[in-house]
Amino acid sequence: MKLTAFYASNELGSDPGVLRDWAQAAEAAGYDRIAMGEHVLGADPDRPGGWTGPYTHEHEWPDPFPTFGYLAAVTERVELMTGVLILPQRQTVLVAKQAAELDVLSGGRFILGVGTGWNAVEYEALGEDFHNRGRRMEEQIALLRSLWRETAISFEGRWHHVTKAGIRPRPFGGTLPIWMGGSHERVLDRVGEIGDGWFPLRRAADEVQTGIDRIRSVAASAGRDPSTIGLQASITVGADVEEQLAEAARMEAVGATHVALFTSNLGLTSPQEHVDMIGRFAEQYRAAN
Amino acid sequence: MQLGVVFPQTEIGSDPTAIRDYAQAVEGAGYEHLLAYDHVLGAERDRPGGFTGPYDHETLFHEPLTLFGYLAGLTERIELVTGIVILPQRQTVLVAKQASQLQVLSGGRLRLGVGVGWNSVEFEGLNENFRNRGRRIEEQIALLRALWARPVISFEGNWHRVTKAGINPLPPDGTIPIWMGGMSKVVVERTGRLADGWFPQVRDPGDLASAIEPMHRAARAAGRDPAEIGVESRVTVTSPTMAAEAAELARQFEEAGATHISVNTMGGGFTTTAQHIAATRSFIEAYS
Repeated sequence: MKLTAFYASNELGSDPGVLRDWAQAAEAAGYDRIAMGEHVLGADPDRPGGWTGPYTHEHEWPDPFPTFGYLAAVTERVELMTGVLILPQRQTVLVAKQAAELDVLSGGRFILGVGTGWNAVEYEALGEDFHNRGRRMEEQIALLRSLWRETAISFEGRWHHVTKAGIRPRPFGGTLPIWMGGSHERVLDRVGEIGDGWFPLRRAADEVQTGIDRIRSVAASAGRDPSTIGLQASITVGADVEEQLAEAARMEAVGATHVALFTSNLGLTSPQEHVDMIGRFAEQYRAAN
Repeated sequence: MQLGVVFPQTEIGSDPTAIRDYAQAVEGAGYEHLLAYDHVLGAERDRPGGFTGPYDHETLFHEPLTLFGYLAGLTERIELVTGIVILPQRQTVLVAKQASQLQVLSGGRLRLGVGVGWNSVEFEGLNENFRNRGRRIEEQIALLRALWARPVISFEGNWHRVTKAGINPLPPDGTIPIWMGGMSKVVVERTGRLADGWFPQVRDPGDLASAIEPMHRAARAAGRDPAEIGVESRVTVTSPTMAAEAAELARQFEEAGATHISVNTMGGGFTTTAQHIAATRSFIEAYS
């Protein structure tokens, strides 16, 4: 099983020195992949109807494209994954362009993790429709793959029109892996139909098992080889390394190809503590496996 | 006068090592800014009605807001300039966020050049309206500056609505310089009224002063000091023998009011990064 270090954006922020030190430490500790969530905007909770979302305007979320561009320059080997990019609130063609650019600059290390998000305030500010985001994302994925594969395309969808045009540079391999976050049944079906991997956030092993079973069955019905679909589970427990190792073993048993370690919400107070925690976990995981 | 380079992106290719070497070489040679053009999509020429644009789908354009993240990690001092980003075909709030992110990652080295573009094929692909792009860019600039200045805003425009929300991180200085490109009468007026600087497309230094005059008039009419608005001209060096002439041209641009010069090395058939680097070095030697 491969290891993913998940950047604690809200706690570590955008300071370039912190980003560089953390990413280089993850690479040196043997992580295969680093991942980062994102929100373009945060909402002020003082609003009509109140606010129940987990994040507000006070939470810092680095934008992954400039930030992974920066990290591509200061790392050599680790994969860079959005976990997740809220695809339906962004322009598909620009995501195709920026993702391809990142793939080229990083030497083929970019993985596009996508999800539909939950915050209508972001969609409003970005001028996109919140209510059809799930259906629209399926068309977005088709368009992304078409733009990555062909030098010029014509695409006539329900929400997108491209007339004999294309992006350049395109990704090295003519495509990029698209992984999906979320655990709703519709998401699972979508992963089975068109996803390259599933990325459940903070779900226990039994829920991951149920989810991946459904994905594999949908994939088989769609004529795909279920074993080609990646699974990045996440470690949901706290600072206890023994418990983390046991959780990782449970995830491996249900078929995870990757396990992501989160260090947010543990009360860590300095960048060094985050670095120490991912380093300690990788060391003990290797010793135990 | 501040000297910079035009990133030779249509000729440098997509090898990240070559891009790194180029950026570090021009910084090492003493250039103070690196300017990158932007097109998100290229159009195929074979289309109904034909196509006469200068670029097509075969032309390589690096995406500047991603590229500048990479360059921020590989350089120390050089200013990173979009020249220009076609603002009305992008989502304003995302441009605000990505520009702010770059400002943080680069230690304040971003200058955001914007323009209205000319290729309706790109606007269609990005699902934005080509016809109202001039009017829309003014609202976009107001929204960009509002988002950069405060952690939470509400904004109700003709084309944008933000309800008690904001971006995080914010740029450390609370704003980012916005420069404009374009030569139409309305763009020149808009630049004087709204922008921090201008990229005039004037080839002959003898024409620069008269081009600047209406821009300065618009600035004064808006109660601004024209002396605070930068002017960036461009010279081309596509063989070392052109350096002396380009340096003389740059001095003439400076006398006519340019505050910045960019050296373009594309269009002369260079096939290696080393040739582009050598051309930029020959210019700086001839100029100093």
